[in-house]
Amino acid sequence: MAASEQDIAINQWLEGKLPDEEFLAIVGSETYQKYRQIVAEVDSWTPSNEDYIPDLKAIKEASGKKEAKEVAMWQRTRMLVAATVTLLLVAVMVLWNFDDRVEVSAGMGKVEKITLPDGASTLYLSAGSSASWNEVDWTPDKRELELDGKGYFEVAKGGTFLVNGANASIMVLGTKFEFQEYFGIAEIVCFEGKVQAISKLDTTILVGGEARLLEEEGWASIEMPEQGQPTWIQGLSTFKNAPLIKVIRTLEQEYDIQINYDGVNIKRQFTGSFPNDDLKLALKIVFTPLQISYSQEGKKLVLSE
Amino acid sequence: MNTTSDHQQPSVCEERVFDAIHQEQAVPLRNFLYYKTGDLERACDLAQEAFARLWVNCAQVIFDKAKSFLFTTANRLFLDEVDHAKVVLKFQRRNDYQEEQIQTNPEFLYRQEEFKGILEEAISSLPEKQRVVFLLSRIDRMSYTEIAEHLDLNIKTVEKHVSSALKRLRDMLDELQHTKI
Repeated sequence: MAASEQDIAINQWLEGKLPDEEFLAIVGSETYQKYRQIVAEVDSWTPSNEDYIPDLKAIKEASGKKEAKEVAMWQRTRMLVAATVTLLLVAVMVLWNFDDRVEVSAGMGKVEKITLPDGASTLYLSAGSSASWNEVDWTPDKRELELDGKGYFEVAKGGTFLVNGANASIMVLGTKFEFQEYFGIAEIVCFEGKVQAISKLDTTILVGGEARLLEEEGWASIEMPEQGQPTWIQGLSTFKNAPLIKVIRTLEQEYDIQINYDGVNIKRQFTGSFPNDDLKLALKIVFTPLQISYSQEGKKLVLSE
Repeated sequence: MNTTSDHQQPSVCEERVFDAIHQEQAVPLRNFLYYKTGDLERACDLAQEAFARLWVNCAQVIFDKAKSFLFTTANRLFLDEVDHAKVVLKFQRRNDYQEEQIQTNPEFLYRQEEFKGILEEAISSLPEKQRVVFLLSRIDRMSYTEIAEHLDLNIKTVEKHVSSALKRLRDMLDELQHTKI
C-alpha cells in the first residue's frame, strides 16, 4: 500500500535512517522540500531557553522536611552502598590509590558533574577528561587538583583554589571558569569572578568575561567563546573562531572516534555549534561548510579535501 | 548506556541519582507539559510537582521506571486540572541554534518570517497525542523508544503519531498559506 510505505519512509527519514535523496525519490521533490522546511523550523525551537525550569531545591523543599531527614539518615547508614551504585549510574570511574588519591574521569561522550571535597564547589568534567586530587590536601586554606583535559569549575568562596594542568596552572578566589588543554595548548575562560593563570612563561589575571590562550610567548587574549556557562554542560559543543584542531579533538572525545586529518589544512578556523549526541549531524555541521569530505569506518574517520 | 536490570539498580533516594534524573529530565518533562497545556508557567509548576512526588516516593520507584513515573504522574496532574483551554503554542529559537544553518537552507517554499507563526498555529491545532509525540521527538530529541517508554505507548503508535503529524502539518500549511495570501 502506497500510504503505509510513505509512513515508513517518513519515520526512517526523520530518524536519520533514510538518506535525503532516497526519501526525496519516494515522496517527490515538492513534498520533500515542504517536510524538510517544517522539520528544520521545528528543530530550531524550544518553549523557553532559560525561564521556568523546575528548580531542584524547591522540589525537595516542597516535598517536606520529614522525607528529607529520612533520606539523610538512610544515606548516612548506607554511604558505601550509595557511593557504589551512584558510580554505576553516572559512569564515573573513581580509583583510590594507596596515597588516598582520588581520580575521576568522564567517559567518552559524557559530561560528569562532580562535587569537590570542600562540599561546595562543583566541577563539570568534559568527555574523555579526568581530574584527580588528594583528599588530605583539601583544607580550609588550600584546595588543589590536577586536570587532564577540559573542565568547568564553579568555585565556592574559601581558601586558595588551584587547578594544575600539564602546561599551566590556574589559581582562583571564588569564581566560575573553564580550563582546558588540548595538544599541548592551554585555554582558560573566566565566566565570573577573578582567576590567575600561571605558566612557565608568565602569569596573568583574568576577570569575568575574559579568556586567554597560552601561546609560545605566554598568555594571549582571545575572544570570549560563549556566555553564561559552557554549552557542553548541556550537551552542545560551541566554538568561536576556534582552530580546527580543537574542533577535531572535541569530536574525538565526545563521540569516542579517531579522526585522521592528514589530508586537510587544520590551520583553518571554525565558528558554530554541534550536538554531542548526534554524530551524523555534528560532522555535517563542522565539515560541510569547510568543504571537507569525510568517510567513516567503525570508530575511524578519515578527512579529505 | 542502559545497565541491564540484572544489575543492582541505583536508588532514586540517593541525592546524586535524583539530581542526575532532574538534570536530565527537567526540561523534557516541562516541555512535555507545555505541549499539552500551552502555558509555560503551569507546565513548570506541574513538572515541579511531578518531581516532588518522585522524591517523596523515591523508595517505591525503581531507577529504570523513574522517567516513566515522572511522565505518567505529570500527565495525571494535568488531567486532574479542570481548565483545559485551547492550546496556543509559541516557541523561541534555541540559544544554541546557529542562524546560518537556517538561512543556508536553500529550499525555501514558505517565507521564513511568517512561516514560524503559521507553523506554530498548525502545530497547536494538531490532535494532542500527535502534537506531544512529534514535538518530543523533534525539540527534545527523544528517540522513538524513549518516547514509547516514557509515555507508556507502543513504538508502532509513536511512529504512527509522528508520521501522521508531519503529513497533517504539511496539509494544514498548504491550506493556511492559501487562505492568508
